[in-house]
Amino acid sequence: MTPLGTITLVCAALSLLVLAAFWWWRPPLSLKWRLLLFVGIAVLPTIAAGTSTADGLERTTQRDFCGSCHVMEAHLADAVHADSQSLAARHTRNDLFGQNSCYKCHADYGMNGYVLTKLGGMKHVYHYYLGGYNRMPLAEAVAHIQISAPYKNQNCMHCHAGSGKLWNRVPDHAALGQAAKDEQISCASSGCHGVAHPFSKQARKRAQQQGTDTADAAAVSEPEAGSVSAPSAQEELTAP
Amino acid sequence: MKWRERAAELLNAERLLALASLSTVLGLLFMVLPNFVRAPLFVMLGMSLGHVFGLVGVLFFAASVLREVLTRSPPDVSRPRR
Repeated sequence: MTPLGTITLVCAALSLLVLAAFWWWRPPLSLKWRLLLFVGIAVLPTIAAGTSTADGLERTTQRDFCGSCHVMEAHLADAVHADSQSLAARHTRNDLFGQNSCYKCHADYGMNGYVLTKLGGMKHVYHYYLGGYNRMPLAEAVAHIQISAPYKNQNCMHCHAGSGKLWNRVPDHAALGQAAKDEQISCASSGCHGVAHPFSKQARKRAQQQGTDTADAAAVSEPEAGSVSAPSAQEELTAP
Repeated sequence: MKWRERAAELLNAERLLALASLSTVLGLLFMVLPNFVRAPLFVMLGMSLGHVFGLVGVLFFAASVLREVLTRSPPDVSRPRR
């Protein structure tokens, strides 16, 4: 348990103790008991709320938390795989990322970045529990789930600022640096540093290929009047 | 009996205090829950419902104190103090 979690538990226990004592003995409401109730109902729960929120928010930045939804298991497995050469895995192996490699790459770094990132996280929870992802098989999810908006180079440049000697020594950086800053090309594209989670792209390509093959086969076999064709793989993927 | 009188009778200071205690206990349970159940849903519930119930508890407590203060019988001033 984290120190903040321990503080939450202690505050909650003290608060419950005060409330239990009051309702057990039912003493007359003297000033002493009013103050005790104020501490038990207002002060201690406020401290507990603060520490539990800080602890919870910190927990949501950890890689294990991201991987705790089964649809992210493949992403987590690839990121922590010792032999994987994907961009995500190479960054995860960097000690500076610690346990927060998902968060450090996917967080929004603007002025309200933290809040926006957490709101985005709430959207993920909504999609997982109410959007059908919790019932989706992993293989299907890997092909179906993709980033909601194009990945911003700004996130890469939060660390790789583009002003160091090493960065500028790369000829492609010198040639395309401005285009990268203007988001015209993506750092995480196959022509540059490669996609972060290549297995998901391959799975999507396979699913699309299967969808195309199914559609072609249906067109070649000349469907009979009144026959119902099976839904394509792509249609199945988009309807969890 | 008018609804106002009925509401005033139902929501006496002690009942408000009981509601405040109940809400606080619920809020505290939601706050400590993520320490034991680490699933994303419980972490989110802990952070959101913990605050909601905690805040409702404080409001009920404030209402209980206000109600007691406002309905307290005035001091007896019919006899002069010695």
